Amino acid sequence: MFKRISALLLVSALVLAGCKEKNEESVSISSLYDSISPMAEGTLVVMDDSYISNYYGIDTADLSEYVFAQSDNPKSAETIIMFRCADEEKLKTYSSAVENSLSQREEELANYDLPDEAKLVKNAKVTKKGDFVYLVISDMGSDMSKIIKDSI
Amino acid sequence: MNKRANRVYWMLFIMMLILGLCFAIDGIRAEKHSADDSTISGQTMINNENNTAEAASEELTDDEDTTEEEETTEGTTIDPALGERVYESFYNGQAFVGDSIMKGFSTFASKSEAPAWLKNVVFLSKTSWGIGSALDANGPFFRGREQSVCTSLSEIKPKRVFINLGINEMNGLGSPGYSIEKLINKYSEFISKLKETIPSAELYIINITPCTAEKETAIFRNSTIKDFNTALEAKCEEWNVNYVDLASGFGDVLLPELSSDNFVHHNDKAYREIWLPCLERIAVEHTPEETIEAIEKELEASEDATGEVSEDR
Repeated sequence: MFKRISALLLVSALVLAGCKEKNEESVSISSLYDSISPMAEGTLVVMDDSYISNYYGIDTADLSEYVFAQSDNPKSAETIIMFRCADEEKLKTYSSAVENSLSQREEELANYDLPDEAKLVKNAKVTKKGDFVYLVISDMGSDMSKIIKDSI
Repeated sequence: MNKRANRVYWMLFIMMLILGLCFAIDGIRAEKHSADDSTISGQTMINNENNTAEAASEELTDDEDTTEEEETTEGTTIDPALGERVYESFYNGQAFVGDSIMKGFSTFASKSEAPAWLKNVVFLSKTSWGIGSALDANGPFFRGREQSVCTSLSEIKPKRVFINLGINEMNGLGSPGYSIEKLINKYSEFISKLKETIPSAELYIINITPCTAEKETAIFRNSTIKDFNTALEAKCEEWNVNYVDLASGFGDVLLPELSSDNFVHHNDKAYREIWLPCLERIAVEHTPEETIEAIEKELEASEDATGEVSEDR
């Protein structure tokens, strides 16, 4: 009996440990941003609601958490965007808006003779995972994205 | 064998207990963390609120300490609290159109140090954009779409549009086939289209600011920028639009300490010390006196009401 209980406990513990990541409350966007933003090459500015609405057409009232940060240097492509949106339709629209912005950003930087920056934008991808959307454009993009990916 | 097996099961049981304890501690810590950790939007809002509160308290302190009036660059004087209201009423919901220099200003507007009146300005800016491409279908990104600036402006329906374009074409003016006259003609086409699209809007043309002395070349010279601005000012009268002289705030050359790239782009100091006072002056100059008086009365009434509430307490 004792043998069975112990075995059951062990299996339960392993299952629980496996599911732990999914069951526990996900890390907040604020904490994630705090952990990855120091890796940025330049100075990032967290853009305000008015800018987010005018540029991306995103009503921040629809987002449960968000950060839209971009370099304060217009010649730099560096960007970190993360947001959560429970409404599936809006999530789709908003992630498309962010995706649409990439082609113009790439064109802007290419026309400005900043091929390395344009390439960073070209290689960047908007990623969706459940209600979470993120985009990282940076020389450290893959490291930052990995941290985000591992945390959500 | 049986004894050894029992020992193993006991050890396993103890390990289970430790594991269970770890889960419990982890859970408690996570709960505490989530309680402590507000969302980024919350944090930003709190920070902004704190900044606003600090700014407001600073303003209040200023008001209490002195009744001196703020002097704008051209000698127009206005009480700071009244000024804030006038600028807010003048710029709220209005459109700012431009290239990467304007893009830098739009980023500055999101910073906590930016004044409240700049927060509800609509920016239509695009890096490497210019007068020649101002009418192209792929104008500045707006509300998630790439579209012509005229389409965006027809959606915004601003009362006022502030335009700063041309620096990207200054380089070309030194090349064969390009001239100030041709560029001004292009600007003229743009102005006509804007007037057709948003006929009731007032247009404000901000002149081109200089580059740093170090980056001047044979075909990119501050003297060309100056010549262009002279021609632009003359044309503004003809076009019946407002000419905004931002460039003179910078002098003949852009000082490196006002530039983010030691070339043509502006840093926060430039936006704070040159752009903001210039725009504040424009707001005061272009706001009818009766509007300023009405705002002043409103302000006095709200101050009286606040005073009464404080006295009641």
